[in-house]
Amino acid sequence: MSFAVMLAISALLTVLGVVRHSGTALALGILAATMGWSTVAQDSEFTGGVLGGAIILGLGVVAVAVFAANYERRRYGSAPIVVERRVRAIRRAWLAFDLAAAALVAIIVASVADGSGYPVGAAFIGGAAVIAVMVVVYSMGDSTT
Amino acid sequence: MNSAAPDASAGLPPGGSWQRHGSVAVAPLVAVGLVALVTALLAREPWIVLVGVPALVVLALDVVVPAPPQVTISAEVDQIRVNEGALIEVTYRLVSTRSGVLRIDFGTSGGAEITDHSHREVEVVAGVERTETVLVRFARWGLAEVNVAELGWPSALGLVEWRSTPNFGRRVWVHPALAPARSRFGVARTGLRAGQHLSSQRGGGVEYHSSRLFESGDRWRDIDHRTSARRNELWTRTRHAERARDLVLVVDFAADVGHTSGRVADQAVRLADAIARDHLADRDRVGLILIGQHLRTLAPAEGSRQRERIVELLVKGSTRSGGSRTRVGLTRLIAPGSTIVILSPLIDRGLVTEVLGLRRQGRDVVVVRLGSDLVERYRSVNDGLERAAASLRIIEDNEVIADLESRGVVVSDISLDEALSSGLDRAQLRHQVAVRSRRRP
Repeated sequence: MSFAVMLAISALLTVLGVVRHSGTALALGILAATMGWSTVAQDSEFTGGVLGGAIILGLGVVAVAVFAANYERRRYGSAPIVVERRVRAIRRAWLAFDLAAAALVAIIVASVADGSGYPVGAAFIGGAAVIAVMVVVYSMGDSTT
Repeated sequence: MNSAAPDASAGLPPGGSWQRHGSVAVAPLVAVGLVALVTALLAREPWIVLVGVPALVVLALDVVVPAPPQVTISAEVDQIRVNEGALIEVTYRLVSTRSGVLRIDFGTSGGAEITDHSHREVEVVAGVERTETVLVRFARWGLAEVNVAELGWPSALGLVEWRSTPNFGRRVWVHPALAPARSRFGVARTGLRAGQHLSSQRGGGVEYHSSRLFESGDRWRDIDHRTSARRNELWTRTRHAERARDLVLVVDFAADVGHTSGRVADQAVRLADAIARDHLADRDRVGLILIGQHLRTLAPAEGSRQRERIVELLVKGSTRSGGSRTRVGLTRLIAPGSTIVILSPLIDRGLVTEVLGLRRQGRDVVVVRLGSDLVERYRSVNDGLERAAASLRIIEDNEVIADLESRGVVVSDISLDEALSSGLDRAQLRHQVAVRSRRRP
C-alpha cells in the first residue's frame, strides 16, 4: 500500500474520530499515519531527517489528540461550552509545557539512539524552554492542581 | 406578583461522588505510544520510539491527575414565585478547596430555559468564592428548577476529566400569566357577608328594595317622601343588602387525549386563575377542589392571599389519567349555597355523575368543558377502530351534555384553539341567563 493511500485512510479515520468522538477511529487514523510514515522512513538514507520526522510526527500525534479532546469537551451537552479567557490561556501554557517536555525527552532518546550525542545541546535548549514555560504557568497563579 | 425574600441554600459537597472519564484522545495516545515501543523492539529500529515518546510523555503528565477537590455550591434566587415569562437571575456560589479549572453545566426542568451560556469552564482559586450568574426565563407555569446538572474537573490539557452530578438546584414556582378575561358568573344565592352582589333581603345597600311604614330608629334620610306625602304618614325606603357569595372551582386536572401536550391542563389553570382573581376582587369567597393525581381542597376564603393559595395549589397539581373514573364526593365537599364552576374536559364519566348529584341537590352548577374538540381531533388523525371509537365517543358525549343541560346544568365548550377570554365570556353569559330564568316564577 502506497504512502498516499495510507495518508488518505489516516486522514479519513482521524477526521471521523474527531467529529464522532470515537477514540477507536482516532487511534486507527493516527496509527495509519504513523505506519505510513514508518514505511517511508525505513527506506530513507538520511538519519537526521528520519529522527526529526519521528519527533515531528510524535508531536503531531499529541497535537491532534489534544485537539480531539478539546473538540469533544466543547461539544459535550446540548450547547457549546463557553471557556473563560484565563482558562484558555492556562490550557495553552500547559500544552506548550507538555509539548516542550515531550520534545525534550524525544531529543534525549534520539541522542541515545543515534549514539552521536549531537542533540545534547538541543536538549539543553529544550530544558530551558520547559523551565521558561513552567515559570510562565506558575506566574499566572497556582492555576492547576 | 408574589415575590419572596432571597433564598439561599446550604452548601453541597459533592466530594466523593466524582468519577473519572477519559477523553477520546487517550486511546490514540496509548496506542501510538505502545505500538511505537513494540515496533521499535521488533524491528530493532530505536528511532521508531521517537514517534511514541511525545504521546507517552503527555499521557504521563496529563492523565495522572489527583482526585478533584471538594466543591461547595450554594444558590440564591431573587424570587421563588414568579409570573410566566419572567426573567430572573440565579446566582451560584462555588468554593473549591483547591485551585484549578471547573466545568459547570447548568440545567433546567419544568418551563425554565437558560437564556445565556449553560456550559461554562471557569477558573477557581482555592478558598475564594466564585460567583456564576445564570439568567433564566420561565416560559410556562408550574414548578421549574434551575440546577447544576454536572460539574467537571478537567486535567490541564483536558485528556481526562473528573465528573460529578450534584443535581443541585433551586425550585421556582411559576404562576400563570393573567388571562385577559373578565369573569362574573351569575349570582344564584348570596351569603351573609358583605359583598358586591344584591341580596333579596333588605339591608344597608344602595339599590332600592321597597318602602314600609316608618319605625322608631329609622334614619331620617331614608324617609320615602313621595309615599309619605301620598299616604299622609311617614314611610321609609329600604334597600337591598349587598352580600358576597361563595364560589367553588372544581378543576379536573385530566391528562390530554392524543398529542396535545398538556393544553387542557393549561386551559384549566389559566381559567381557574382568571375566575378566582375576578371573584376575589368582588369580595366573594372562592374555594378550590383540584382533582389530579391526588385530591386537594381549599376551603372558600376571601382576599389576595387566597388567590396566592389557589395559584400555588394549581401549579403544584399533577395531572391524572382522564379515563379513570373518579369518586370525589363533591356533594360532601362543597357546602350548600355556593356557585360551583367545574373546569373539566368531561372525559371522566365519574365526574359527570358527581355533577348530576350536585344538581339533584339543587346546587348552582356551571360546567366549562375544556378542550371540547379533543376527541374530534383524535378522530381526525386516526383510522379504523380508533376512528370508530372516537365517533362513538362524540355521540356519547353529546348525549351526556344534553342530559346535563336538561337537568339545569349550564355546559359551555371551550375548544383547544379558542381564546380563553371569549370562552369564559360565553360561559358566564349562559350562566347569568340560566340564573335569571330560574328566578322567574
